[in-house]
Amino acid sequence: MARRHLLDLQSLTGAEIERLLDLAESFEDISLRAVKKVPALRGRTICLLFLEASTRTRASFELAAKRLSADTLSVSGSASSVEKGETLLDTARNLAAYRPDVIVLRHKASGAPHLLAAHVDASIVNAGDGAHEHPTQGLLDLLTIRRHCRRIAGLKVAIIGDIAHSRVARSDIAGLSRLGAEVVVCGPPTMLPTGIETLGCTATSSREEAVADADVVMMLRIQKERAAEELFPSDREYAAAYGLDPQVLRAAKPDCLVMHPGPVNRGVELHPDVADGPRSVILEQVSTGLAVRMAALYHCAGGELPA
Amino acid sequence: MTDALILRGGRLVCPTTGRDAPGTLVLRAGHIEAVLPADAPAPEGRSLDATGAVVAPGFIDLHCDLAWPGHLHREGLDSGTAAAVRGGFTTVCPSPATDPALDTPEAVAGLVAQAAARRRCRVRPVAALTAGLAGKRLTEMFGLAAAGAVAVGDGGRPVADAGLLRRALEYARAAGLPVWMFPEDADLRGRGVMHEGPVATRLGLAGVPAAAEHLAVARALVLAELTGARVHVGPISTAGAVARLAEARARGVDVTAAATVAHLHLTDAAVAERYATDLRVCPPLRPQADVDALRAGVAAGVVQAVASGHVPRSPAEKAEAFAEAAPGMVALETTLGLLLELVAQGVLDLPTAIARLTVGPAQALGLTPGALAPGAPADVVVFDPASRVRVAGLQTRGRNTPFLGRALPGLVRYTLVEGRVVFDAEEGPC
Repeated sequence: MARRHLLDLQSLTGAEIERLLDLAESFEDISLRAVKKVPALRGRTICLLFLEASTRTRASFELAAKRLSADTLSVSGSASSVEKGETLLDTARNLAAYRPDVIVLRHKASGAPHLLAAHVDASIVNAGDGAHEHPTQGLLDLLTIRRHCRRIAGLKVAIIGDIAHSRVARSDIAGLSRLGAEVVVCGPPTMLPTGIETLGCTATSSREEAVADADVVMMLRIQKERAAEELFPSDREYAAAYGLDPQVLRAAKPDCLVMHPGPVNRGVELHPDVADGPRSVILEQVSTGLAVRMAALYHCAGGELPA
Repeated sequence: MTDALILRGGRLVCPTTGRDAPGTLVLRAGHIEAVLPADAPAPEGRSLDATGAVVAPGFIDLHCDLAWPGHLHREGLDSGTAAAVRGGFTTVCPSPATDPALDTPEAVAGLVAQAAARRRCRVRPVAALTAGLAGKRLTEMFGLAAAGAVAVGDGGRPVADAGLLRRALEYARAAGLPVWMFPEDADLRGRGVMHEGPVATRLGLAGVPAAAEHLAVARALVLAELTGARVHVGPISTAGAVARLAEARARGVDVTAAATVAHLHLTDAAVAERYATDLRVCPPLRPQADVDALRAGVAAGVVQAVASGHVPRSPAEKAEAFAEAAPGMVALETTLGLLLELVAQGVLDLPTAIARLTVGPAQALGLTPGALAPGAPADVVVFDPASRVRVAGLQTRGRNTPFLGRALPGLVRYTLVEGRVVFDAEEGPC
């Protein structure tokens, strides 16, 4: 039987994405119960192979696996033999010898999950690969938006920040455009990669243009070390030109959602009054992420999707 | 008097003399003794059947990596030269980017002697332009030339300091060596691993802009003009490089260039297919418009030479995510087939294709080109121009090529160096 993977949203259809969102929604109430566990994946083994630093995503996947009663095996970058010169495939094949049903991979190189999917006998869930995709983050963003706006088609979504280096941006653009949203990406030209429009969005370097009449504004985390690469000169200049503060947000729709994949640099990409304000759904993104990852694991470990 | 070896029944195609007609070659004592019409009675002697085949001067490869010394997990002189003669190459000019680099007369002499002991193709290295290819200090170029180097080059690591590069070009000119420059601006490349464009953006891979090559070619042209050195750029991959070379040629600046068969056939779009690491090469694969311009440049002679661009890698070096996999593709045994594929597609004619593997490379090296003419060295290749055979049984140690299993024309029947059969399709390399 062919293994089922979740490698990226670019290769999924709108209908497939909707089905994953529906599945995630059906898992949401488990976390609200007194006993937060179901036997859906009892006896299954899920390997968490995190070869790049991650706290939030890893915690989310680990909890998702536990809530579905799966056994987990964790291997992280610092403990791995990758640093001893073993190739990624060697590492993965050694883990595959324990016959896990799913390997959840976080890796700094784009395409690493695709390499595993092609050569290792396990379902692969991409937990973020380089600047390529972070499909479960994309799905949780979609589900959060769908819950609040009751639809995705026709919404204007602005994604502001370092698009060039963001896997979240690529997953969001792919998912949102598949489901009919109008996506505008925004950042200084140093952060807008060549040909980003081919993913299904428009691009602008004007924050005002991006935010105007937006239903959702997604702010990306600024990695401060990028200043050293001359992508932007300073935090204060970035905050002034591309940050989201209450004044700028006034140009958006009155009920515009403010989102951020976390962790937030308060005062850089997000003004504290916006990050913690009434339109922010940032913490809700985190709890939605748990349901989405339960859905991703359940789907890949062989559970059937509701028709 | 040594015995003659008679090559009969073939179509003799010689870009040097312009001959393209059926005929018989008589080889003796390492040289071509006579070129006879097909119907003339041939002298007595051992004969090789070239019926239905093309007989041409042996090929010269300007861009290959034999990974010797230092990288036996990738290739060795034995496997590398076996691959070369199977591909019809009678002379290869391996890169100095070895470990240690080919930066001393002793290192060059060692390689030449080791290669000569294999008695296959001629191995005439490109030595390092700077010590350790570090771009800081000139190498002993008179000594390198005396030891057997036919050129000096940056080994794929462009010299950053334009002042030093100028001195190196001036000095190489005095030593009588042409200078190989890999045309890529390292700063514009940054951490790029594939062509910068929509495909790289979609895949989340850092891009190498075409401008990195344009800038480096422009710089090479300016410095060639300033110093009067013989400069060769390659491998090139962009339409912009072809245009700049054509424009310089029109002004009388005689810089030679080479393209690899990979860049004449593959585009960056192919990388999207599962991040195939065999497609990670330097320079990166470019979009179709660049491939088309490069093909036109090769057909028109703006690009004089087609090279294999052979870079062997071990399986482990390719069993990584795209950006972490080592760049390179093995190609010595597919170069002729892929070039003949372009002949089949009408991009260029057969004599021109052969010229890009013979006269063009000789011009870049400043050597007298091989010829099917009395007195010329008997470096000859005999190949089947039409029927297709699946790529298999590679002699190179590398398996890093997307062309394995592809049916290509140009199966080499015999390769002869100095009149000796060094490859025979029935028996393999000697």
